[in-house]
Amino acid sequence: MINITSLLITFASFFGIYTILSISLNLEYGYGGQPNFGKVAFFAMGAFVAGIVASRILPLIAGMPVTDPLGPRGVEMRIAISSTRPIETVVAFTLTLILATVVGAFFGYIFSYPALRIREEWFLAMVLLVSGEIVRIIVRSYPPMVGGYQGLAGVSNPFRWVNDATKASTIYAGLILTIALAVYFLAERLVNSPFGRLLKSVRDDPAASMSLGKDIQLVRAQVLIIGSALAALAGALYAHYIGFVTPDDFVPIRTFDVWVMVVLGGMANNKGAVAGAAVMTTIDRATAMLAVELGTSSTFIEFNYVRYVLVGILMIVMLMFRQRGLLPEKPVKTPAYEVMKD
Amino acid sequence: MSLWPYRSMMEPPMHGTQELRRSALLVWIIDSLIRSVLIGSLYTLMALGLTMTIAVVRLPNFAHAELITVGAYVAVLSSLLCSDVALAVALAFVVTALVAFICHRAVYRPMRRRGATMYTLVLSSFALGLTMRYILLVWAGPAEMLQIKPKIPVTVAFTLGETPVLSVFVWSLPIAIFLVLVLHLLLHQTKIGKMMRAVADNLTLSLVTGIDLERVHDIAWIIAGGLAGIAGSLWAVLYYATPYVGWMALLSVFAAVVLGGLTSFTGAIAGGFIVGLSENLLMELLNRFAGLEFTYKPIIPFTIILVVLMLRPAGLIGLLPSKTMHPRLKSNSRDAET
Repeated sequence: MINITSLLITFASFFGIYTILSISLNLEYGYGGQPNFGKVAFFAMGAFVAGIVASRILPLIAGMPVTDPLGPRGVEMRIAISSTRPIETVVAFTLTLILATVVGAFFGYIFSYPALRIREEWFLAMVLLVSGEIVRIIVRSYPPMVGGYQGLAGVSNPFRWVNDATKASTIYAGLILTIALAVYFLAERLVNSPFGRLLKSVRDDPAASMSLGKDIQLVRAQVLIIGSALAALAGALYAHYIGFVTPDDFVPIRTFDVWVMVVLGGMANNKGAVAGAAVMTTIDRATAMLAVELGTSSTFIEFNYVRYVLVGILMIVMLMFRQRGLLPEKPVKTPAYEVMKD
Repeated sequence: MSLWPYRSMMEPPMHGTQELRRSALLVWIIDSLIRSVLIGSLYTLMALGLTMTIAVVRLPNFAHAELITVGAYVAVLSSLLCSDVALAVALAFVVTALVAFICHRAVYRPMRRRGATMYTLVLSSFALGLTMRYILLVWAGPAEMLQIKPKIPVTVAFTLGETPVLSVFVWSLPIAIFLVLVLHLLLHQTKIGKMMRAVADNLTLSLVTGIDLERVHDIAWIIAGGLAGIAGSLWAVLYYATPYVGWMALLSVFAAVVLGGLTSFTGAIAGGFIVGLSENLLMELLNRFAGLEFTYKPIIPFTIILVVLMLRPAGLIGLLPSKTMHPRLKSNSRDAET
């Protein structure tokens, strides 16, 4: 029988992570017009940072020697530390989040280099897609980082020291949701600020914004930096949620999932991005649950694959019949606009 | 399991006397060269189809991958009836062309009529490809065809010096050359071919002269699909068919197209062979003399895409005198696109 509590916890955690991702893409593409097809690379970087911190820095913080960070002994040590030493664990986790954000922002800046130089829109999509794959293949082929294709286990829930698995994951889900909420308010502030209006103007008419003396390249770089930092944050949260880091988790389909959320919810509307994330999480969880339920009763159809078929069809239907998404773009909220409405 | 199909038929020689080593090395290089040309000719066929959609329909079609996969599975299914290569290739052409045509009529055309931007079309092609790939996976699992070789025997046709040459090579290269010739004749000697080139060169001007765009698009899709199908079927005969076959080849094919300058058919042919050579001969040389692991192989086409798109979007064709260069790439304006 399905465990309702654990289902809710899973749903909440994934919803939070997806929300951060879809808001970050919405900032980049919906508001900034930068088609980031390499989203998964930044998501992956967050997860890799989580893996590196958990395997190298966590033992250091706890005052233990870093022995065998990629092997079974390292896993044992990590789990032992995070089960017994609350302060060190939380400090390492906080460090992970900060580092992931910084690394994401840094690589966002690096990746924005082509964005400033490429002429046709889909070239940028192609370049980012390919860069994302390059990141994955290099990490996959270079074991000293996070264990290559075998991955890295034991990136545990930062609240493992609460001696109750359900309670720990509930607290963690709450934390993820809180961070997602914070990201939402941050994004709302951002897009309703002068910077948000500048973003939209660069998206709609770069020439006009340039004629008003705006540095459009700088704006594009900035939005990619913010979006990438948020994606990396989501990646770190994800790694600690599933407890395992493997490069093969970060294939281009993940980028596509984020695109589906944004297109489904509505471009340039943060509420839409949240709605898209909610729909996506529902599809995700429902098919995963069905896959498990039906998998035990040995049916022929693999439900994990049906999920992608559903998502693909949903995307085509949305693009064909309702390009503006469930919640279309709204005018910017400015004080002047509020006064005018009254 | 690595999904990136790689199989070396011979191990690079390591032992033996100097004399023996040298001759073995020669055999190995010839073997690698033959494989490069074989893969290159298949990439060329795929790249020609993709160039067709990019130049004529103005859509970088990510679902091209799944057309290749469909071709591969058609070869598998037709080999259940009869183990003849000609039948497999012909069926692959027909079925895949049909699939491409249906995709065009069911998705791309209605979308374009609703005024979709190129960007929306790229996204929808990605979605369409994903849908097709996973439908194939859903079907192939229970049918026990997740990784299957067509029942078409691959034999050693002849030996070149001491290097065995597979029968696939004997089929692939002539088929590729033949198709390239047919395509050339079609584009340059027939009316529809002229119309296609006109549409590729300047859409507005070609519409003004009364070219039937719908018909041009239909034919372009049929050719693109058919070429992808043939390449896919030969690929399956060489390696095996999986639902990921096309997706795994797609970025290499994009590399070939990008290298060729995106809209040039000559460029696509050159690009296909260059990518084939660099993924096989160059990779094996790098592995042997620089110790680069084979897991890094996909990086090669990716690097090609990055370098060309960022530094020289006109590709190889941009190196030629500007007469042959595509006007769309020469102009600096973005709005030439619409």
